[in-house]
Amino acid sequence: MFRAKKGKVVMSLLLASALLVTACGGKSGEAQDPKGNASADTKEISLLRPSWNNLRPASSELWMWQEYEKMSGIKVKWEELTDIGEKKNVILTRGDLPDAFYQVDWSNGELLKYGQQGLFLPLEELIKEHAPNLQKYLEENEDVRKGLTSADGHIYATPYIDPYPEGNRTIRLWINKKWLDNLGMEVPKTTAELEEALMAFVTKDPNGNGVNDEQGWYMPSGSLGWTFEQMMMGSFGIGNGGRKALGNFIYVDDNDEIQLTITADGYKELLKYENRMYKNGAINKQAFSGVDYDKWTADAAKDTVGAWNWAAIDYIGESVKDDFVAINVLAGPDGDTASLTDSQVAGASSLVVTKDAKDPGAILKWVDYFYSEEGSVFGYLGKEGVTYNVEDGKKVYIDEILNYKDGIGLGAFQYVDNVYGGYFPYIELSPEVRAAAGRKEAPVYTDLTEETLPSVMLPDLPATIQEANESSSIIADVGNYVGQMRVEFVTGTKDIDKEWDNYIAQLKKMGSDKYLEIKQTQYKRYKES
Amino acid sequence: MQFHLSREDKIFNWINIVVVGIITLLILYPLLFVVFASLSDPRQIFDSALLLWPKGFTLEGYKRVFDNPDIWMGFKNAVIYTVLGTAVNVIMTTLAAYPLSRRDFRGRNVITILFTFTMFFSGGLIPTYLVNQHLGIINTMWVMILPGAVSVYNMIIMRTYFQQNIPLELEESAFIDGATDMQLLLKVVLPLSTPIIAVMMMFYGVGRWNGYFDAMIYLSDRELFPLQLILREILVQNQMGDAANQAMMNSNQSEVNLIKQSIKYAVVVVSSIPVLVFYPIVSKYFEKGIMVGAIKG
Amino acid sequence: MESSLHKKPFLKPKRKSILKQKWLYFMMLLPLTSLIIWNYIPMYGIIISFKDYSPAFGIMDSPWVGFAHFERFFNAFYFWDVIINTLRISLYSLLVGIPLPIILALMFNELRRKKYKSLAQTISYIPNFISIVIVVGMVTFFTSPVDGVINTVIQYFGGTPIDFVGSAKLFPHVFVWSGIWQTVGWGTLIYTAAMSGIPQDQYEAAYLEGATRLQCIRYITIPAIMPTIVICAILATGSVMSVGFEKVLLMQNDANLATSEVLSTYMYKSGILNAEYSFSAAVGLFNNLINFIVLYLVNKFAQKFSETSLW
Repeated sequence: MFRAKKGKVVMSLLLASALLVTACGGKSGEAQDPKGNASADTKEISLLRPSWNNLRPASSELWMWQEYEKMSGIKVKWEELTDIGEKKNVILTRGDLPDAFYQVDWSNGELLKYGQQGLFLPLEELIKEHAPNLQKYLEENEDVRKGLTSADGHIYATPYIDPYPEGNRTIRLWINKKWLDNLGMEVPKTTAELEEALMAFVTKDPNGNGVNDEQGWYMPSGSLGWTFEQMMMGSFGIGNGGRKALGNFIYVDDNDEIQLTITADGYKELLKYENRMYKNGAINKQAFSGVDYDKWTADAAKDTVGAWNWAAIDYIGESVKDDFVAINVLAGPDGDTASLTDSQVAGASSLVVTKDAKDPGAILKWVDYFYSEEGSVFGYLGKEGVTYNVEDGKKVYIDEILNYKDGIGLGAFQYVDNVYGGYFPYIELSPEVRAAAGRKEAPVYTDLTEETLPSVMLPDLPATIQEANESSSIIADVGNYVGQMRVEFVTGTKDIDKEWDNYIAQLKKMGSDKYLEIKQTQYKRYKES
Repeated sequence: MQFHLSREDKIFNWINIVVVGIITLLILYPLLFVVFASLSDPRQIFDSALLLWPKGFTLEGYKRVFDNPDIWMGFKNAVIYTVLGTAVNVIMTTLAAYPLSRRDFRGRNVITILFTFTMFFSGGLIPTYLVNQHLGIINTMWVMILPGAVSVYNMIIMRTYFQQNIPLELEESAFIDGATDMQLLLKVVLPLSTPIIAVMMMFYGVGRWNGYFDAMIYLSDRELFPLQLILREILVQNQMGDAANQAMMNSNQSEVNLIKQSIKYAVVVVSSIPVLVFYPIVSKYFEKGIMVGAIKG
Repeated sequence: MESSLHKKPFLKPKRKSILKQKWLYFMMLLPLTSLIIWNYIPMYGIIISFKDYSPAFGIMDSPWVGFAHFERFFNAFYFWDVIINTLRISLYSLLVGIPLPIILALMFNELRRKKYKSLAQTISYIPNFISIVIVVGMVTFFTSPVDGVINTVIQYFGGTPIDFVGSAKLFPHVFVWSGIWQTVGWGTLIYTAAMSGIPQDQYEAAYLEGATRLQCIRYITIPAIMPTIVICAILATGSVMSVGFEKVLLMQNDANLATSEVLSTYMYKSGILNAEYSFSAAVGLFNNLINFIVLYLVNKFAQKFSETSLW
């Protein structure tokens, strides 16, 4: 970058008046930084990405990227930034864009806007030409192609794909099996049985310490709305459409139409269910405030947690995690089931090529490897004999990784990049392979089947710029209001039956109808694309 | 001179001592909590309502802090930015505050409003970034030192002090002796103003030491990061983060969080130490301001 | 600062010529240059409030939209709630935050034991250096209705536990008083410095006349630091629409949202999170315009009724 000498600074200060003219130009800073002349045989590309350097070596020193440079013949100049969310707008303005953004999160509204304005390149043709693996995957998986295609028909990013719903895509309920056993109860299969089990947890001293310190459903405050409640939407008939849809307050009804979750009758019933559990103590009293992650894990370590929601069990901490078993779906009052599972397009902006890319084809060629099976393995496990060995036909990390002081995940992160499923442009490995890498076995979920998965798992629906603008202001208000009302309804400070009409009327005032209309249009467009 | 206290004053004294003592204890306990927590097993901190002593005593947090090269590097950078930046701040602020404190300075109202205006209206991040880019100081230590040389708030405080505490007679006699305004500032005003200079050093110094936003925006080389940016990675990131962070959280929460839990209190303690050392040195100058009689114009 | 000394013009008119004051202008040169470079040159960026800014076009070339962003903001469903919440918290902060440091500084000043005084002062400054994340974590922990120390005390005296952080009604109190904990000691610094400038002989003279300590405070100390008090108060009112963003965001939850949603967090949620920079800029501009007007009016008021003012 621009590392100025002291003299330059002083000079600049003296020439401050000249600035008045130039700074007003808006765009600036061209050609301050020659991006290194690519020599004859190695191409060079520049990528900008979030920094994980507080946890592991810089990308340029990471084993994986050094190795891949040799393999691909392409040298990457990494620029790694912390707090990219705050900085990305500034970066777009500064004049010298990187060739591509790697692992940077852009909303599909931003992708479309900047794509149409010429900052980001449309990639569909380049993918056809230079990225055979990705192209193949897109052809074979309609939903991925649709999810990536913007409202203007272009693809502006390559995805992070996780084909396995049994992995991190599904938020499941973890229930304390040890307590169930102590009480002689079965693992709940319905919402009613869950209520019963949680009630027993808080009243019958299942941890056997003689103190009434057991909690039912208990998680860090503020989680309820987007974990437990969203999962239960599946049981109350408003959970079809996948996790992204539910996060946007919409679901797909039996007629394949988009509906709002938060105004549905099923939601009213769900709130009553939560309210009952809250009143009886089956949902922790501090569900909405007062418990942070530190406090929660400390309580969990004391064997006081009955049930909680997350994708992976590790979240609750090492000491008690083996006490819990997973429930992916619970049958609701009307027998409905649908798991809380995300679209396989887990990330829709993993690699974005900018207008300043000198050789966009080379970038896609470079990234395409990670959409192959071999590339997936390389990204997660590295190379046989170097970062993993094969034991009994299974790929297992080397001992340096397995015995790493802060855990296997961080151990692997010292060598390879794609350990954490965080928006990397690549296809995720199956949970079995990933577990085996750490000499573990992946849990098997018998209740997660074709039938119990949502029939559609939507990505973020592609929006036009106008739609994005309109819905973003509605959604901010609606989100606030729904959040506040959830507290009132669940804790019982407002009566659900009495206040329901009022609640619906308020939402309408905020524009919930307009929002629904936008989403319905988007869904139609999505299906037709 | 020794005061002989009346009964009323004695009562007043004792009440004052006791009340200050209570306030101090109230302020102190949360600080002790941080210290105790930094020496405790992170899982046991929440065991009881009051942490009156480290629970599950461990030096793990400090060990991790001292083993972390980033923290040392950040420490070094923060010291450099703070010392140089504060020097620039105090000099520039004095240079602005003194003329504006002079009632006879023509244009002082206009200039004051010009300064005050910038407290409220700014072009925002992007144009400022472009200016720094033109100056060529982005991703250098200079971007941490040169911009923001004058805090208007501090400048006004300092101006007020000058107006209030520099006896006009001194200035007058200095002029009669043929001193220039510059000599007046250096030889008369500044020696009389050590308390406010000390305050300015504290204000700016702490501001520089605690600041992270400019570093976050303008620095990309890790070797240039100040301590607060490193601290932020430990304390804040993943709480208000972007989606990539969020995804990261999903799967490695427990590993990364365990590190963070064990280190966060220790890192806060370590990062506050320089300020604690600094204060007693500076505080002497609060007392030394009173030497009016000793100075002749 | 029209203190009694300053009321008589001491400099002869002829000194007022610009040439004679060349040193004063010379001093101003560097600060003004800095102000121009880093404050006034970038100021053209204000126009993005009236544009639909996109980095693809840059600030100058983005299309104009007039007052569209302002209209959207004024018509927002939560506009009045957000304004009222912001004012409630900031006025409360001012009301408590301005006098308390003064009182504490006076109390410190009356301490005669040097060591005790220095210890108390030092301790009172330290919270200012504690990261907000940690402060919010401690607030949550200490006020927990289940096992927090405050509620343990309340229960000991037979009260029912209070959910401090989960109550919209109590949020302003929790926010303001935890802020006081953090800044009250630090706020005494200015006043301590101002008091150290008071000549000791004034107190000695008062003592010889038989004045009590309280009388000394009232008739010597407070008048002497009055200009500082007024200036600090004026400056503080200039942030009446600004409430510390990071802390609110960290303390905010659905249970207290009814009072904890302030301008800055609202702007963050509806603007920055969706990359609507122009909208955020418009809200920010509105915010600061109000701040500026308030400061201007308060200053006007101060010019009229006290001897101290900003300009």
